[in-house]
Amino acid sequence: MAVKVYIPTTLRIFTNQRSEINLDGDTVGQIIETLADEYPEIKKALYDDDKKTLRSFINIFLGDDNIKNLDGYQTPVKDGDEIMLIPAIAGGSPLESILGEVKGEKLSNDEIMRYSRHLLLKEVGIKGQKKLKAAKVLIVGLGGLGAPLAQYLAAAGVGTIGLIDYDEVEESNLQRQVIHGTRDIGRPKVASAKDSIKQINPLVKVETYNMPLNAENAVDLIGKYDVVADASDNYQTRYLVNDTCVLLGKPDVFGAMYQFEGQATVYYAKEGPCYRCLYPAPPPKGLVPSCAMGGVVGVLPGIIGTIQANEVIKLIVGGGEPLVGRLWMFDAWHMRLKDLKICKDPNCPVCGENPTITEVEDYDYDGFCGVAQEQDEEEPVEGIEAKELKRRLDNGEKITIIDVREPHERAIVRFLDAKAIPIGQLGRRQDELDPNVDTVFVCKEGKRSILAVNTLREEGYKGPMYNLKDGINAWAREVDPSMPEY
Amino acid sequence: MLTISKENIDQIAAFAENSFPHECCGILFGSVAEQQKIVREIMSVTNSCGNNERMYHFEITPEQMLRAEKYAVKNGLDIVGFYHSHPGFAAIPSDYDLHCAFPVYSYIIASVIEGKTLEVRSWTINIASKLFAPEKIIYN
Repeated sequence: MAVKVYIPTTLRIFTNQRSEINLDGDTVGQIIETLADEYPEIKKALYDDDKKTLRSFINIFLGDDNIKNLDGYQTPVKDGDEIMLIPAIAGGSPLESILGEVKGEKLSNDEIMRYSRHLLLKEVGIKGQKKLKAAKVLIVGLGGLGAPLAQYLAAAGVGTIGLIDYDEVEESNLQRQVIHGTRDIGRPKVASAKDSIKQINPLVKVETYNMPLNAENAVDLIGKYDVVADASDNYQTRYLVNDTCVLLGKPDVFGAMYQFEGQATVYYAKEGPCYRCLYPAPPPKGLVPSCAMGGVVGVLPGIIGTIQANEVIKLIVGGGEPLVGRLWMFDAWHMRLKDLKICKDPNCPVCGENPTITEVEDYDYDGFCGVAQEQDEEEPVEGIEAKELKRRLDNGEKITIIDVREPHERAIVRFLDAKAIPIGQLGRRQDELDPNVDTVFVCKEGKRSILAVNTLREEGYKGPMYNLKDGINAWAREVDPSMPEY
Repeated sequence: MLTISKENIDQIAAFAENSFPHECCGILFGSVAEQQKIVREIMSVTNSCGNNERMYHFEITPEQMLRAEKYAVKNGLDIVGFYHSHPGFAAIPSDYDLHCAFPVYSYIIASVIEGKTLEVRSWTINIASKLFAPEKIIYN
């Protein structure tokens, strides 16, 4: 069958400037293959890197019909048919404000004075400041990242700030969670944060939720806001915030950190990748320690949280170059910065081409993140309360105590006359334990000591082993108040 | 180098203002020879993006493009490029423009600030660097 193929201007660089080519074949696929054989250079433009799939930005029409609506490559052709290769044409301006046009907001003279340094920036101006006033931002977590986020967004004049957290302020938070003060210890974090925000900017409306974010309330809560800043510290919440934002079409301004390293990005499925594109599954439980276990330098959440606040403001005002499709990674110890390009995964289960997660209500986030199965999979470790250990020691019972903490932690506080064996050495040093004597493992809060017992079990140690419940911190609270907690 | 009439540029500026705050888009017809592109006529096309998305994106459907290619063949013209507006932003290609761009074509961008077209510029892809380079506009 003889068919005439029309070549668009952009592809004629590959066909010696020919605009019409007559080719023979029985199907559209055969015609295109013949074209590619005659003009091999055109393959680069027509096919994806796998050299089989036609690029999505070239459409093929047989007569008036897109072959996608016929039988694709298998579509038969007859003498005199015409095939046109049609490029897909699109484009656009930089990312506009997520709020679109804002009407009806006015700035009072007091507000003009307060926000004058913003108004002097042509990128923000009156228009941008009105958008900030109209905007509603939900901050998930009022810890290290949430603190600067809330402070700077309040100062910037974000009209409504939602705060969700179910924790209370603890003394060990104050090294980095600068929105809370010493007198706030024991108060709900959302209440303490609300007071601080009102002190900074009484014009901000603050909505507080002293509860965990979960699959039941996420859609209702996030649905009320224009943008979410994820300042949480656990994987269940991160996946839940991500999925809900994808399904509701909202941006998720993300931050995370550990010890000296932090990262920030904007997951916005409309424009780029989401959290699941990058991390299809969380790391195995216990592999990545939390800040409560591994520590974090107090300034770091200040840096990462303010980067998040800056991204929130750009999304609201519009313009600039947001961290959509870019992962910003920062190492505060070596003072290094990386700005990595991240890509959307077409097979992503929530924002890909054929999503399998279409609602969050029935999704088991705890199960997905390995929280629920923790107890099922491993043989339970026998625990001993601090007071019970004290009683038995006072009775003169022979008990071996092993401290599995790091050397720099033991320097904070020693525990009785415990023998120090780091977890990594337990296997080869098990001969140092007497299988006829009870052994109690201790750490800061009773989590690593469980890992220690399980490690020795795997290594084949048969003696009786116990975990000091809630760790040395519990001992300090319940048995020896002269000891510090950390 | 792109040769185009002053009237056509004025028309593009007017389309851009009429569509504000949305992006307008259209097709440039003419001839291409030895890096010289001449625009003979322009065709305004409906931006097929949704209502909200139209404020920062444009798209021409494959069917509209098919009609345009047929029109070009029938009238002995080539499609030499496209135009679109950037409401609220400079007449500089965005990352998304680059992502969607094809070689050879001219991409005319009109910057519309507060409802007024302030600047109209043309860009084309540098085949070696795969980046946009400014393209000189010559009025005929």
